[in-house]
Amino acid sequence: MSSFRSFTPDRIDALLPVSLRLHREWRSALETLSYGGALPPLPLALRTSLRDVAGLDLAHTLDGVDPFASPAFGILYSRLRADQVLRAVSARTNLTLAGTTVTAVGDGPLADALSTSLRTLGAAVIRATDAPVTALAARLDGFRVQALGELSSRDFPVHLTLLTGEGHGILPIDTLEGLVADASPGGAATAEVRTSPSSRPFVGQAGAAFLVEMPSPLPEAEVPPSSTQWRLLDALIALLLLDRHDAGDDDRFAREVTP
Amino acid sequence: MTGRIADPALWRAGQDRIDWARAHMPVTVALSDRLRAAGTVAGVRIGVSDVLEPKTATVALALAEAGAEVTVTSAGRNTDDEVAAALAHAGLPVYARADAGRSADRENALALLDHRPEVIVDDGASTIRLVHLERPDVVAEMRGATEQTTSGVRPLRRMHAEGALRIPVVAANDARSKSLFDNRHGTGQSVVFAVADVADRSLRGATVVVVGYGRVGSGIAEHAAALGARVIVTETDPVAALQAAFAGFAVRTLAQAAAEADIVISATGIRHTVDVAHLDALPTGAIVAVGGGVSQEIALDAARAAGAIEIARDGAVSTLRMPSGSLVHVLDDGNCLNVSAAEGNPVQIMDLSFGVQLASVEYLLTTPGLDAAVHELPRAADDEVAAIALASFGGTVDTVSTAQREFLASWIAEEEEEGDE
Repeated sequence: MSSFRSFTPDRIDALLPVSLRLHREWRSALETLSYGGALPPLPLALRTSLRDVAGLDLAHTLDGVDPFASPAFGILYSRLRADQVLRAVSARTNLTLAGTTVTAVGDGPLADALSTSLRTLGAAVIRATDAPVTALAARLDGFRVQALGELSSRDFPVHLTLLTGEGHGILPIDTLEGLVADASPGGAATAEVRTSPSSRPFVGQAGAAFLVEMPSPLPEAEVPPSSTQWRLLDALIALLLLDRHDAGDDDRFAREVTP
Repeated sequence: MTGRIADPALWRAGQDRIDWARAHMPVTVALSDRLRAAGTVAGVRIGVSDVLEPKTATVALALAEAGAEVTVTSAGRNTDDEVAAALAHAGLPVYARADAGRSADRENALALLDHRPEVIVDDGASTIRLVHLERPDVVAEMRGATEQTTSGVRPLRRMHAEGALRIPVVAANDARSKSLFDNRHGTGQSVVFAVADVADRSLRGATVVVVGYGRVGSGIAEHAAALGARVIVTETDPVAALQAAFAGFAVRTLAQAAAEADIVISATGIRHTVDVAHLDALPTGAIVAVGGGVSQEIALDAARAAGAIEIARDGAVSTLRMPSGSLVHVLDDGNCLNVSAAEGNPVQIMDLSFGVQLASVEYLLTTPGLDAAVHELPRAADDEVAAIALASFGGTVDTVSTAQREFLASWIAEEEEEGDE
């Protein structure tokens, strides 16, 4: 597959530096690693290249290790994913973030990371959650808090709604307005939403809302992977290797992936 | 001559992008509706000389729809051929194509002047200067011009001081609705996101050195921090440097900061800001870019003369081997990255700037007796632009009460004024 042409023996160390170093440390032959949870499966072409070039077979299975069970992975993932999502919203819409009102839907570290970034660059952030503990923290941190059921009954414009997929069900997207971005790992939050084309690439219309397509957190088929997608894949493999060989030492994982 | 563009068949894609921009430009739409209703620009020949992308195209179309005879030009490096085609498709004479070099750019600007514009809406004051130098007969018939950049207003004030300016010019750049938002929020977002996208590099955990803490630099620092960078600011002005320190940023000299930089973004608009010694001190893998900016703000010519060699080029990323041996990635050859390698500033921010431009055109055409000088946009017009934008963002503004107005109008101290005991 042309998008993974860069994944050649002379470049793999640059693309997957942490996981390959760990892989060599244990001098294993072919490692078969499996992950479960919300992250999407790898494209078949990449899975094949990874096996042939690096000696790692990475499978997505129902009973695989859920990387989000690791707090350190959750921290790394949420920061990089927040960055990826905000960059995609900016590049795909050419609209401002400063000055806007943004609703971050969800109860986890991604909603936290998105809220912190957006507030720093000048957006008014609303945390939408039904989780009392998240609501408590958000209120004490100075965020306006909304229950999920109130999302479609607003008395002010919301320019962007970010669905993190963390701890909430499928929202009725067509009751929203403004931009909507599905930041969940596998796009599950909007998988069933039908959109009509807009005048803008990567943006579809659903009712009064404009759904902005988000890149996957991991490399995708047919699209050249970004450095963030390689970095998250590297972290995922490293986590699975540590889970197998080092009893899932989260401190070591954190040390290995800290820039 | 009715226009020179690259490919008229590109118009549909350009029109789609203009439609998207226009849907997010409430100020431009509101003010152009008023110009049309009042007939202010009906039959007036207006030359628009600006970066040619969907937002500027919206302004040109808005003026045309309000009844003006609009002609458009743009420098090749700032031209989007799809947008040029869309404007031509709408019937506007357009002199702009992306592959135009310096001499073709000049021919295109002169072609715009052949339409004998009565008003020039300029960006960088190049066309205002050109008409004074090359078409004095056109200047004689002009009613004025507007200029929207700091670097354009500066030479215009110089022209006025030397008695060379022959028309009234409104310094749209100086309006608060423009200057307080365009540089900090618009350029801040577009430069930082363009650096991350062009370099394909997350800023999380990176050390980003921002050179210059003016309006552009402060916006860049703020956005880089929001994306998880550790920001170091370098400044020559102690007050600006103190502001950076109070915003929570480390303040160092560029020579100190360069050694630990992952990314350097220059935001001074001054030639040779990032000089050869700074480039040479960067660690291998560092990225250098310019936001806003002028030619050779990164001293690339001098670096090559000192022995720097380009060893690789991947899209807009040029990799130089410096005499020190370190490899430095230069984004888009040190050009103004947010314009040259991305879509420019966000739509709603440009809406403020173009709202100010339209208000400036209205002021020029409805104010008799403006002399040949650089004028500020009146406060009321500036306020109106901000109020329309505020409403679109969901904000509402208070009004001054009678008691407040009386206090503000009086110079006599109240007898029972607090704090005088």
